[in-house]
Amino acid sequence: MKILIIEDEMFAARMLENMILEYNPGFEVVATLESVQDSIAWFKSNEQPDLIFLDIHLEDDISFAIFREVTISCPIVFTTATDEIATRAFQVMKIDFLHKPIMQAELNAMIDKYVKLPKKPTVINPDIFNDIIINR
Amino acid sequence: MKVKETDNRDTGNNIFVSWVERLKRILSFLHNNRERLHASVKESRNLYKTLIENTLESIAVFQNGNIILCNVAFCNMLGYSMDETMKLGLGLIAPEDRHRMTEIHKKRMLGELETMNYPGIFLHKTGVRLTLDVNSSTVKVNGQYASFITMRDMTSRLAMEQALRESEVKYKTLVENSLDGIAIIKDDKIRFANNTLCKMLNYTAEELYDMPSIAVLYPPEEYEKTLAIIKQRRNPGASNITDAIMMITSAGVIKECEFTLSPIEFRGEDASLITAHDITERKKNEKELRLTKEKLQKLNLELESKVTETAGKLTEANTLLIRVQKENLQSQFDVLKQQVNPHFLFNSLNVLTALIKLDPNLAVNFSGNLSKVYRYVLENKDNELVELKTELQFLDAYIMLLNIRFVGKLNVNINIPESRLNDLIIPLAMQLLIENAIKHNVMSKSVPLTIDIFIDQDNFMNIVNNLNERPTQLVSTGIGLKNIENRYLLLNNTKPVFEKNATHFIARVPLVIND
Repeated sequence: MKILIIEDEMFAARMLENMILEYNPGFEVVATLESVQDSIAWFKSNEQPDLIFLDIHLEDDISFAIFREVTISCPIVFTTATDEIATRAFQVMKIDFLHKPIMQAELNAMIDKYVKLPKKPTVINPDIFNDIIINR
Repeated sequence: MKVKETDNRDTGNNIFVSWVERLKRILSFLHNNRERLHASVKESRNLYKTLIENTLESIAVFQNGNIILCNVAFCNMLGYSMDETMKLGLGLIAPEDRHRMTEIHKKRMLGELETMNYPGIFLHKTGVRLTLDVNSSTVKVNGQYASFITMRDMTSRLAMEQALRESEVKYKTLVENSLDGIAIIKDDKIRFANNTLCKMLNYTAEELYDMPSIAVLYPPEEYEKTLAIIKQRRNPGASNITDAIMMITSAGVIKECEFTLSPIEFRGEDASLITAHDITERKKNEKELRLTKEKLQKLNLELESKVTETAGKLTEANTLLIRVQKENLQSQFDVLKQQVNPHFLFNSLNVLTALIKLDPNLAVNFSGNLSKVYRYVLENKDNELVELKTELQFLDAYIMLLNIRFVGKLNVNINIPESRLNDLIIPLAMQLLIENAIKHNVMSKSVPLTIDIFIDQDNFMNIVNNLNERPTQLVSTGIGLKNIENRYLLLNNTKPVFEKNATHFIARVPLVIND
């Protein structure tokens, strides 16, 4: 399984990568990206991965901004510390997310879901986050 | 006046009675000593005849129903000549009184009566009845009884005339000085108008005399109606009813009048007595009064609405005050919340988890500093102010945690002289400003976020960062800067200043000198 990590904190990204490989050493982390701009550029020149772990607060913007520029057709699991508003929104929209610090068992269960179930694309309309973001 | 009158009459009576007695004695003497005293009688007769003829009293002697002697005053009083008087005799008495007086005369002719004084009604030549004071006594003339009558009309008539004149003067004065206009109307014409009415209508009495009453009524086209009202007032029982009519002056000015109408007899004929009281002025005053009242009511209403408005404003001010108080409480609560920022804690724990696996030595260091940060928060969360050196020690630990999380993306430069380390500052303000800078700005290895911390010459702690704002934010409570402002507000201290220019965000937080 090809997995993409988008996370601006270096140690957090490296930890997540280790945990994914712990789940299945055969999995491939295709890239670790730290910003919205890098992510947009990556999607424009690479094939879609099988699963994305997506942090919300990236170094240049919030990650929802990516959806305005590129269409993502693979499943996404959001990662967040305690953004209450975002968490509530994910629950309402039945979007998968993991709370930081991420526990190995929870990560395993999440990946299991996508390995065992038939792959269904999660096409996220960027407008669904309009209510929880402020444009400068 | 009346008493004096009576006196006069009594005096007259006394004189006259004594005079009559003397005459009786003389006549008796004459009767008994005719021959002997013939010469002196003739002289006396001439004297008394002169007296009788010249007296102002009316004197007549009746015998057998005829006048055998009367004087000029008697004739004049009844308006006849001497001959006519002598002929008429008892016919001079008014028919209704003739029988009674004839009976008295008959008795006197029998010598039965003493001197009497009674009123008797006589007919003047014009037909007017005269009630006269009659004084009769019995005398003997030519050996036969006769009625000696004296009548006095002058005194009472004069008195009556006097009384009438006085009464007239009284009434004239009353009428002329009345504040009401008074008029007598007969056959729809004005037959009399008093001064007040003349002045009211701006006419002279002469002009008003004989003027048709409609000429002073207004409006002319309604005079039939007004006349009907006036005529209706003539009915018995309808008199003295007060009503309002419009009158018009010679100059065309309309006057509203209150009027009464009473039926009276005027020169023996039915007429109407009208009183008219000009109420134009009163109506004007009433109108002004009404307008003033309305104005007052309007003012009162305005005042009421102003009171309501002011009350509303007060309520609003009160609500504002309550809101400010609530905000203060909220900010105090926010301070507490800020002091245990869960987002920071969980992000730190996330990194710590990673470090335990990836770099155990760094993990020990990280957890030590994380403990310092939270110990400081717990120890100082209730303090309004802390010493700068304590705050800076905490800040070192906090910045170390940030540097591990954001490797190479954040530079915090603290430059505080040691001499200022005892100054006071509100706890966690600097930490909050650093967190704010991280929240709002892009921070990458290529364009790191640089935060400079120093004290300026105005004794403000400056927390300045280069500006590289993130395009979007997650919705947040947005209490960061407001929290700092409110805490200084609660301290009643100098306000913090937040400025943003093209390149930098500058936060200036006041320091309190610790003496």
